[in-house]
Amino acid sequence: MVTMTNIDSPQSAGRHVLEACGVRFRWPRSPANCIDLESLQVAPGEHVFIHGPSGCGKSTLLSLLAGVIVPQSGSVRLLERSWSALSTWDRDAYRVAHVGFIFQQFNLLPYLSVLENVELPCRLSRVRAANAQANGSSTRGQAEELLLEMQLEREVWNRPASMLSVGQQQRVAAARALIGLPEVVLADEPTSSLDEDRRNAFLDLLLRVCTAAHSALVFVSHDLRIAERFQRLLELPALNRAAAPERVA
Amino acid sequence: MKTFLRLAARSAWNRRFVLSLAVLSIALSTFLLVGIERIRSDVHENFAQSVSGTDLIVGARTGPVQLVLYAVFHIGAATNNMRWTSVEALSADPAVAWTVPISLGDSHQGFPVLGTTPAYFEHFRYGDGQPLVFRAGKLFDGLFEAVLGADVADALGYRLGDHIVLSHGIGNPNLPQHTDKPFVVTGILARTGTPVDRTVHVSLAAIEAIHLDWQGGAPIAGFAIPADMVRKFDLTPKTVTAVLVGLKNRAAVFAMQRRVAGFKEEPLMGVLPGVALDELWQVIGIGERALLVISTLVAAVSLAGLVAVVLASLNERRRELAILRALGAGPRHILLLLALEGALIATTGTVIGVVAVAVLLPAIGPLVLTRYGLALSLSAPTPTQQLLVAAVLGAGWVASLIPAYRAYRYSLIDGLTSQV
Repeated sequence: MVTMTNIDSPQSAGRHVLEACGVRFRWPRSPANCIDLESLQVAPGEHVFIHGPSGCGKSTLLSLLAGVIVPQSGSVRLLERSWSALSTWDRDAYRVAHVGFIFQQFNLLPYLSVLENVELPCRLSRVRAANAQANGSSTRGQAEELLLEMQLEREVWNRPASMLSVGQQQRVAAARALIGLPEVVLADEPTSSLDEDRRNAFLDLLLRVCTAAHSALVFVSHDLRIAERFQRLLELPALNRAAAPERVA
Repeated sequence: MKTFLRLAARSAWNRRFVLSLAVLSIALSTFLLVGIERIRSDVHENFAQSVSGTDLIVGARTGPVQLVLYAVFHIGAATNNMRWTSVEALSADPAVAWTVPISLGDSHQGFPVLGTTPAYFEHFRYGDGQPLVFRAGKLFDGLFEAVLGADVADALGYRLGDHIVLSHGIGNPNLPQHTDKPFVVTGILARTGTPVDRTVHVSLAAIEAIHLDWQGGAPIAGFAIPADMVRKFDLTPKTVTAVLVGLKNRAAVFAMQRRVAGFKEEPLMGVLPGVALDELWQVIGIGERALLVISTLVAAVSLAGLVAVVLASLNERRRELAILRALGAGPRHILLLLALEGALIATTGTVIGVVAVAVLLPAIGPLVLTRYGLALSLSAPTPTQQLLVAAVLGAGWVASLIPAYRAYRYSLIDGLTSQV
């Protein structure tokens, strides 16, 4: 049904992997815009920290960048291709081919093992599978490699994901986001459920792996203390003209 | 796509406890619907086959339902009897294979007493042509001997050799008693699930004998014939209530019916038992429809249960759906997954229900037959039952589309927010 082969990766010769331009988005049945963004660019391999208090549209922005929702006006382009120009089917395939995603928590499907969770993007996208096999020897090989890099011991690899601690789960999620070397990794407050030591350790690993994979990282958080580790800091309330403190994202 | 199907299976297995509740509720509603429908059609069948093998019931002219009511169900009383000479004329008809005269009017502890000939036990059939079988003892032989139906024996605790006294008339508890001429129980019939079970059978001559010294429904004052003297009288009945007639050739039944209707000596009528029974069922079949209504309600409730179970688990699944979304599943994939899951639940539940009916009904069949006299058929599902199963299946699937549609909406509006 969904053939992922015809979603070829455009030669990322462009200067930006992600580019938002004049984006306005309003949720259905909402009276006002949630996102009103003049422009936002992310260069290949760049690590961007987007800061904002809760309720300024962070999650909505990430959904727009990932093409899960499309703006009413303006355009969001991933690898020089506008999400709005793709059909819904193609958007889903294009997303899994080029974007890795890390949630705040509950990233993993509890009924799959750790390894199966990590391999999932390669199962759903031939592009990701091909990337994984070109880099490592096999999907399984790259999954194991990433798990080792994220410092997950071999003995947990075959456990059901639900048996892991929150910190371990987040590291598995990072490994899954990076398998098949997607051009962009979107992270939605992935450290907010970790304590300070674990947060720093997780960030170290995540940034190192993203650098190694040449993946751009868009990291959204309300926690300014970690911002200095990123190459660029953006303040979403300044960026988003529709942001009002009382609105709930 | 294959991956999504595998994921759906793994996900469903992960939630197997909750899902098995939904399956169970579907199975239960299928079981009840099909089971009740089976019993309903069997009750109808049993009723329609209260008499079989009898081609014509002949009696004094009255309504066909009335004739069947007293001749088959021994309910109510005949307004008119038919003469014995007419019975003899009928037996002499070349088309007639056998006749069984029956005489009603007396009772024992509320159970009707049927005077008849030994031919009754030879020719009477019920169900698919089953003959009467003795559970104990044998046919009446002497004059004051009685054969009891299974219900009579069980309800009153009679055994072979017990003595019973008949009452004159039916219904009223203060009936005059035939105390001077008690009967001895010589046989008890096996249960049939027909009015035979509730009947006391004696010979026609015995009916005649206990009424020798009666007139107008009471003993003649100052005139009594002792039991050992009755044999000196002619005990051939003057009248009987009705005659069961078997024909040599069933095809002749309408011609015979016309001959009976045109009988010169007295006004008679013949009814086809099946036709009259069907007519009677129209009246008393309301209970049958009530059963169907009840089982439909049961099915509706359990389908509502299915929707509730799936909807309740949907909130927990919003995170799972958001993960799938982030991994490239479209809203339509989500819709498909839930619809598929619903179809699977509905199918599994219905199959379990049908199998349960197929296994359980034969298992309890013998018990139901001996306890309630209801013969459960072991046949393949009737078209109505197949329709019911299809209805449960369809309704179950449609019910599962409600949560599926909600999940579809969620996956559209949630975006990638996994925090619910």
